[in-house]
Amino acid sequence: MKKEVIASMDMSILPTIGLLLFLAVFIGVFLWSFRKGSDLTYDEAGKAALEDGNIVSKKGELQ
Amino acid sequence: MSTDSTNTGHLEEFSYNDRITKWFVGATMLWGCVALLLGVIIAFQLAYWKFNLGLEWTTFGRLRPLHTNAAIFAFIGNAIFAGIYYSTERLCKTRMFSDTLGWLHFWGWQLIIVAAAISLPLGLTTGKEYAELEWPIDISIAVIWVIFAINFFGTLVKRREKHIYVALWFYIATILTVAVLHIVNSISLPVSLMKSYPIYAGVQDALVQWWYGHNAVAFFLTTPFLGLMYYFIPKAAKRPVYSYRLSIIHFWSLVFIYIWAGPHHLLYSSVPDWVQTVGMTFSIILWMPSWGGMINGLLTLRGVWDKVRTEPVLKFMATAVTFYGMATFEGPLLSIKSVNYLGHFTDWIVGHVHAGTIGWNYMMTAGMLYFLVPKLWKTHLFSKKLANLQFWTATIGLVLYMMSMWAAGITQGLMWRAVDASGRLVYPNFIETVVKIVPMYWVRAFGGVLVLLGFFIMVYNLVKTIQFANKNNKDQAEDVYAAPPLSAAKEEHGASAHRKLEGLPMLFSVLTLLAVLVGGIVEIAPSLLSDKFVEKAPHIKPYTGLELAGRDIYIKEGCYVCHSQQVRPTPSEKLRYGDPSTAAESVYDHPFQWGSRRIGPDLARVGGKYNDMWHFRHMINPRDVTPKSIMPNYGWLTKNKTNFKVIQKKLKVMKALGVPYTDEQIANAFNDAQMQAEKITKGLTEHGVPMKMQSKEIIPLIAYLQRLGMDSANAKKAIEEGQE
Repeated sequence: MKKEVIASMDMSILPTIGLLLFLAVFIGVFLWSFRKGSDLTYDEAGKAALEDGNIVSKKGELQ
Repeated sequence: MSTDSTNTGHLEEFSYNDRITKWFVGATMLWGCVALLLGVIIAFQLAYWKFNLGLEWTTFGRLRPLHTNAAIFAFIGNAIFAGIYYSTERLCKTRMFSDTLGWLHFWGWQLIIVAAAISLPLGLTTGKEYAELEWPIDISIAVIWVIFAINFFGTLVKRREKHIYVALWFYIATILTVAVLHIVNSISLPVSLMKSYPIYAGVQDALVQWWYGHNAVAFFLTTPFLGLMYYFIPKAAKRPVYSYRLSIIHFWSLVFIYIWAGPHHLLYSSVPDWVQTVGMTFSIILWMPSWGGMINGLLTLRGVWDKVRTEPVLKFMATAVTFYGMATFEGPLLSIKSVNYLGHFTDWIVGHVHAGTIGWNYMMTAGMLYFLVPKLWKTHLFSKKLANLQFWTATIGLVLYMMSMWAAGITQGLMWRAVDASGRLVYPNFIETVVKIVPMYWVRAFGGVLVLLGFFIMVYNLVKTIQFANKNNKDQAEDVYAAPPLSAAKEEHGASAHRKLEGLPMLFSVLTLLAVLVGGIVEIAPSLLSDKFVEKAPHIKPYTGLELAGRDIYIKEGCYVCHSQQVRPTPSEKLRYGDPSTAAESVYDHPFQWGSRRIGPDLARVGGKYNDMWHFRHMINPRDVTPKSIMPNYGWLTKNKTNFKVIQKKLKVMKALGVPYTDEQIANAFNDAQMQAEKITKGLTEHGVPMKMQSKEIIPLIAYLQRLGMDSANAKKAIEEGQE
């Protein structure tokens, strides 16, 4: 039954569904990322990579 | 030293497990040498066949899978782990979840590499590109990957930083997707301890395999390195990423689109047209997020461009991102069907792949190692001059590699399709198109030597750096850091939804997995659930036991590395090879053997084209029948004995997978195979071949090759005779 239903499907609809799905995700993410007041959050988030934490006790020396 | 300890006040003290990163760094250097050396060896083998050394363990067919596995999983794999362990700890302000799991991950992964290095030269292979390792090793990979995943997600859970930085999103996508790809593609039924057949066949197997194969590129060679890019470039440039907003769009577009692009490896094949169209369309769309990422990486360097000239770390990373941009432009270009028709099966693809692996992965890894080694060992780099020397050696080597492969690929592609005014092939002998590009193989091999030399220079430079540090830096204890616990993090007012999402790594992971799976489900699920894809044609019969044994020898020797079995539906292919391949013709092929490169001609319709004696002589010395052939001699096929006893088991496993063998065929498997072998050998004895050859591997291989395409040829003949 399941196989028959799938076999009788018009597969050429699938690329269109895929494309629409992607467009929806893309537009969604795009608009989302431009939400009001997000600039500050992003500025701060971008800096996360630069910090390793406060060093309390350093072992070994830089040669 | 204790992992974590609570301090009075609001800060907790902890240390990072840099020892494990150091070991992954060491493994990266070691396996990098091995992988690149193997690449150089096989490059010379194509330039001059005698470099195959006349040994069954060292032919191109067996070493090429070893090279790709060593480069992807050993060299680049260890580099990824080094970078992920180092950056995840720091981005989460915590030690990795478990030191023990970390060591299990490290040693387990190295053991898998050693198992691959032993099994592949022995010819123990599934015959699926980039997934050649047999089932016990596949299971080990899954187990070790899960251990890595637990360690990674455990670290996310115990983090002190509320939000997970963009690099970590890419790691999450990598870990989840690689697990899904590996497990789905590796499902198989074992015949023996080191032999199995995949549950998929023909078109289904092709779709699953290239969904895996393409996304191994996407989620093993690309997403983890984008994560590393988002961490190490800001770190080395000492400035934040150019646009965090762009990184969000980059991430979601990339993980959503990438998974759809797999079928661009199957253009003009017997895969349904709509699947090919989806693969092509999404490959072209993929250009944009790829370049979004590239731009984000490069523009992070704004204001520090002067440092790109002087600092090896930035020099390598800027170059890596540039090559990433070139490779991700070339990929979509090659996915356009008409361009693909020219480039597919040629060295253009090989050049494209190496622009990515050497230009992007090798360069990025070199930049990362030049950053990590001085940091981890708390010292300065031994020599910037040597780093510069490596940079130029590797870059010139890579440019020679790419240019020679472009020239070779486009030349050969054009020669294959050249048809004169009277409608005949201009170069009907395949070997003409090979001889023409052999000079390019020498240029490529020379380019490869430069890339390898550059790597040796880097290893020397890094080892000297480490030796100096170990001598002068006696205190090897870990630094102690302090950070407030996660519970102290305040809710941000007005935080965007995505920002909140980053605070919920598990939900984030589920959404990522969903984005990744959608493409796979739409493209692959119909083929797995519907018989429409695998229409059986009554004239296509399963292989006989002897042919099946021959097919396994074909796989064992890695014939698929140089020969395709898929005739594309175009005039020049029809003139050269015959009718286009159909889906029904590979319906019993577990695994499919369509191949991806024609270093030799397509074999889909080779059955009956030559007599048995031609094949016999061709295997012993290809140049006997095809002057100037670059194929190795396969003399051992006339010495190694065929294992007739296992044939019955093979038929049983195939039957379990859906191949319609009767109980009678299975019961008589041994005798039937012996009889067919006797018949073939008797024919050969007329040309002076001794009867004892009957028990040797060359006989089943001939049986298999003579069967290829014969069912369709016989059916066509019957129809034509009927019409007369």
